[in-house]
Amino acid sequence: MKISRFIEEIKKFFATPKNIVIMVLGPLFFTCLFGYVYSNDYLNRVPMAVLDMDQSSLSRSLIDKFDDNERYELNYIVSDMGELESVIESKEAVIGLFIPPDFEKDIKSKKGATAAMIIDGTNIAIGNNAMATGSEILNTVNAGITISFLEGKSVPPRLASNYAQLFKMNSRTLWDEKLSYKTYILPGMILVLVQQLFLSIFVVNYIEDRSNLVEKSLLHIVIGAVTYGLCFLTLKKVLHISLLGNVFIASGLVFLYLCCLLGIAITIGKVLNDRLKATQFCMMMSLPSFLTAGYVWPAFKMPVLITGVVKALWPLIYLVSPLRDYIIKGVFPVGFQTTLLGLVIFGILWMTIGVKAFKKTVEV
Amino acid sequence: MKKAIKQWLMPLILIFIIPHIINIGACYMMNDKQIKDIPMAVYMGDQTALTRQIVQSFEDTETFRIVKYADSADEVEASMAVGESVYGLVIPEDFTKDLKKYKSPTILTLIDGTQLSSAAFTRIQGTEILLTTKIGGMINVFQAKFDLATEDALHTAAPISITTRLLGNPTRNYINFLLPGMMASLIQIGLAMSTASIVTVGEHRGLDFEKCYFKQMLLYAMAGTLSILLMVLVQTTFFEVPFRGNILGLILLTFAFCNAVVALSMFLSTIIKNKVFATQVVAVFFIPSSIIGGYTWPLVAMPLPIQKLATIMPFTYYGDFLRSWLLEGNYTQYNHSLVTFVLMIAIGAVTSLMMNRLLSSKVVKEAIVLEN
Repeated sequence: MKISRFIEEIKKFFATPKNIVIMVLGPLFFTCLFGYVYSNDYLNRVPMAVLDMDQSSLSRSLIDKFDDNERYELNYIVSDMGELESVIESKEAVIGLFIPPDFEKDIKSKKGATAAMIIDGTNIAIGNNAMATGSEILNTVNAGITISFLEGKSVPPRLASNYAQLFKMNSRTLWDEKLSYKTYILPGMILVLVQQLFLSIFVVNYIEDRSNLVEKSLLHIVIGAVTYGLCFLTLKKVLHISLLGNVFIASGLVFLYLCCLLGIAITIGKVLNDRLKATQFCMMMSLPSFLTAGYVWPAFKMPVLITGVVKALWPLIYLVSPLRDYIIKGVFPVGFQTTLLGLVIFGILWMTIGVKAFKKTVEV
Repeated sequence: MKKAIKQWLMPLILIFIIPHIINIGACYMMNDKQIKDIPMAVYMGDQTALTRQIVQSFEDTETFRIVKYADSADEVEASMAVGESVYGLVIPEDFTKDLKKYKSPTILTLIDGTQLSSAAFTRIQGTEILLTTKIGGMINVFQAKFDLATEDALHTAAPISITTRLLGNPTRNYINFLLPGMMASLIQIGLAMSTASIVTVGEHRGLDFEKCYFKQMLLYAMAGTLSILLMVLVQTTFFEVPFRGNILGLILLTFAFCNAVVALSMFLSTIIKNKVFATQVVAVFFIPSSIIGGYTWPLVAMPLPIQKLATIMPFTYYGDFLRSWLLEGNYTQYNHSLVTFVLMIAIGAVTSLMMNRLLSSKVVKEAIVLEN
């Protein structure tokens, strides 16, 4: 590598504003955009419908408990089950609460009563959250009724409470108490953004001008890693996501990652040998690479065959989840060294293919 | 023939080959359908028959898989920090003794908040297991203390029994939830990028442009429709995704959706001369639509400006439709989506044609000036 050539590549890169716009400003723009998209931490005010066939003070107080919770917004009071199912199926409401006739009477006479929650399950993320909070409200109401029963049997209030709370159940959510989409998606997504925009610029520039390959590659990789660092800082300082990892270590890993991606990038350039086709192919790979990287669907549940194929063809699976865990928790996941070794082997193998492709092109 | 292959090879790869390989791979990848065997760490500060029974009740479910018995509560947290487990159960010292003295000891559950896909589910399942144990214990206490019959004791311990019914996707099947829309989104991206470079101002003029425009629009929209239908066929035939809707309704809205995507993409191609740049702009517009379109994170939870931005993205009107059409067999916003697509097609076509006339006349004028 020669310094003069490296400087020449720097001049070429910065002479084209599109390079800076796509490779540096692009990931930063999308980090901010998606951060804004997910800026509401909770899915609050989930539309709710109620079918109260009891119309008692107990049923009204139960409904009030839901209405008072910030998670729900009571939008519909319906008059029959068909209507309740209909507003949920039409997505006008996500959760429906059904209180049967004689609800209060049955409870007071200790016959027990059943309240039903009907939830739109087509979106798992919303359905699970709506269900978890609904169950908690109903359990709290249950405990209150049990205590009043016991007090009615002349049990002292404190003891009644201890009987009803035979044992307490505390739940603590670590690292992201609010279970926000922002913390879940963005720390992984910034790597995908950097990867995609690095590929779409590097491959096009490589097809256009094959000179100074080493210097050109190094420049693009350095810019990619620096951009990742800037995205990391944007998450932390602008979007206020709690990140315990070190930005330099994370950017260093991204530098290594982009080095390991280089072989594939050169091969794509050689095979497609057309700027338009290369752009189309690289952009097209963003969604598939994210979907199959063990992020949306956990890697431990992926079939061995799929894991093997993905690991042989695209390197994102090696780094996206471990790096995300590192930047959020500040600790590397167990077995990270082996994963890193896998990434390096992947990089060497694809680099061998890429270099052969490059030499062939130069010879031609 | 060679020219035709050259012309259609890349669209074929983008609209059919890549999406369908990914579709089969992703469906196969999620073939377990639910997230099961979630790794869990346990600290048993109290080793009694009762605590062993509690732990066993977690082990007996398909949801949890105990991967670590920790020596302290901190060790459970450490195990979660390094990703060894994503759910933790901490049973304190003297739990059983305190329970018998009615001191209400506390069982702590720890959830890895960074694993959103499993966090809410583990919270529901873990609470259910502990609640069942708790109610069982309360029944025993009430029977012993107040001489109640089992049923009375049950109704005292849990006066309201809660049933939950999940409509549409009762088994929380991830393929049903995620893949129909995600794969449609991928086909949309391939379709948009293929059409971003097919009609360029200056190459065609006047009627020639119009003919070419509508011919290409129809051809590509048909290709996109065919690809989405094929994707649905594979998912419903081989991966048990239900199909509860009407096939004609699916074809009609899919065709309208693909036309809207092509119209928008071709509009961009008429105003951007550089094909590579047009493709990049189209990609930047269409790739985020799977997020901004409200498919995984609902639109109502997004800030208002993003909700407004989503209104110009065709996928906003299609992703939810496709999932509901397959899982529930209906979609109340069907007509609204159809009308929106027709409007998008009309606006895209009219502005493209106007833009072409405007730019073509400019090119002609420039040519005349040059000639003179």
